[in-house]
Amino acid sequence: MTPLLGGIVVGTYRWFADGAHWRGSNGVPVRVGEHVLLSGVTVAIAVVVALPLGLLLGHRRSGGLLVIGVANVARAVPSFGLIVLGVVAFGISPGPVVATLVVLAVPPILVNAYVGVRDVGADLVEAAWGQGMSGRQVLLRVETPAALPLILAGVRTATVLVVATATLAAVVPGVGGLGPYIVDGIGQQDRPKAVAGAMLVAGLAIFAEVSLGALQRRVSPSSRSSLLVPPPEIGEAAGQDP
Amino acid sequence: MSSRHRSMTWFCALIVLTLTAAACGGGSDTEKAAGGTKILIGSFRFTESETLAQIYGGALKNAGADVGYRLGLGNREVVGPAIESGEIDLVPEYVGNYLAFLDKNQTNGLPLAEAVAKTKALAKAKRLTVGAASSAADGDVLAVTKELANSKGLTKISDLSKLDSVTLAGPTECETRQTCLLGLKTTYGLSNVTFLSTADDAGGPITKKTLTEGKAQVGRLFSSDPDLAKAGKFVVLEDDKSYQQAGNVIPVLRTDKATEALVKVLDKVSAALTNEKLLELNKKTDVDKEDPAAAAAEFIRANKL
Repeated sequence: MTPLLGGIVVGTYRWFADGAHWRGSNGVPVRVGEHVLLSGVTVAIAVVVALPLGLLLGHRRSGGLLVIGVANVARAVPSFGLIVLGVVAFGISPGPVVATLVVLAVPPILVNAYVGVRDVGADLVEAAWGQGMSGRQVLLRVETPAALPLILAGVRTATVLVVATATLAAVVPGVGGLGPYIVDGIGQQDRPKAVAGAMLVAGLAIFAEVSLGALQRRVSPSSRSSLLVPPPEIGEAAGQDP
Repeated sequence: MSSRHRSMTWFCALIVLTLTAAACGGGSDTEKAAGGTKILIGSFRFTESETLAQIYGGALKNAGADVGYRLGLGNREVVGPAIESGEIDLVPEYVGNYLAFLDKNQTNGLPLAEAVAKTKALAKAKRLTVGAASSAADGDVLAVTKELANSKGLTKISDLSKLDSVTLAGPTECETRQTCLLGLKTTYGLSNVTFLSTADDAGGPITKKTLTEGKAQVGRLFSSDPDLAKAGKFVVLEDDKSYQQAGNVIPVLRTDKATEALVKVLDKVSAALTNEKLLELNKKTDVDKEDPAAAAAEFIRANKL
């Protein structure tokens, strides 16, 4: 086992060191770019589809059953089968891959937006209504900013899921991304290629996780001076300073 | 769930195979008959191979062997090493392509008898026993759509030089195989060929889709494909420099399992298989969507194997 493992480690190192793997339409930069583009477009579409719905239902504090239903159905969809079916039905294009990945990305964004907005403190929302804000203003100026950390957590989960699953694009000829490295590496008994592909995908997923996590922490109330955090009541403040 | 289906299958297959191989390693073959011999049968990842595996398996089971299956393992680049290392005991192979796998310098197609003899010799060195070749053949072919063949006057592979550029669609292994992409460049001297990978779709719906949509001009299909029949959408380009290999079905068995009685059973199956019957089996599974296991069972019954 050890010589095999050592061979793979050395082989993978050599694969990365080979300049030929960094040039042209099959080179690492191009493939990483394709993978990022594919994932980015998918997450963008998923946000456009799921975020408004989640925010609205959360604001109305109704439709929880619908959200859970949609999320569960979407999670149960067999991605691989859907892509092949899409290609056979609609032709060879990135479309079926993006559509399938959107289905995968919608549940976390939808559920987090819904729960985030629904669970914004009642006192905060009542105060907003009390100031004469319209429903739209309450949602956009109070509830959405307050729910932002949770909303971003949903987007982060979706992005990591999509980056990891976009490797399935390998089954569609010519779409590219990082998946073909893995599929070709296995199919051609070129283990270093498969391992290199897997490492690139893992690296990209970790990068997405860490950078979006940092963004999420930046918008969290604990690390910013926010008007949304209610000031301590006078009695309390006085109690602390006799 | 199914997004992970493929890799999970592969992963589980590996684990199961390793465990089974370990469990089987201690067994001894003292009996002459097939009685009780454990045979793990593998197959490639396309329907015909799974059907053939279950036909050989059904016949062995009827002869008293203890048969298990590891179907749809992958391409030859995966299955070849699996039988050499004992992860499986038997696989229905195709003589020419297997020869090209065993001997990377085998770049030209050989007549069947010669190919079988050479394969037997090379396999023996790897402690593998090769049964008799069946007359049923399923070789790699390069095919184009009927429209393209008519409009450009394409009948043979060397005609591809008439096109400004050619995109060849085939499964991932085609890119590194002498009998597929590489031979087009070396044997046919075609410099206008680029490759479009269909991942592990070997002669399946996605490969055909690349042709009908014009994403590729030439596709690597299998000669026993019902779509290549007269009424089908595609025509085969004649291999005028014979770089492709004889595609006769031939069972490959680990020598430590190859008792005389067992090989006799395999040879009987190979003798019962013909081109017509293979085409008929493929029509059942690919066109009429019958389960390969059911098609194999029918074949066993009909041919009294």
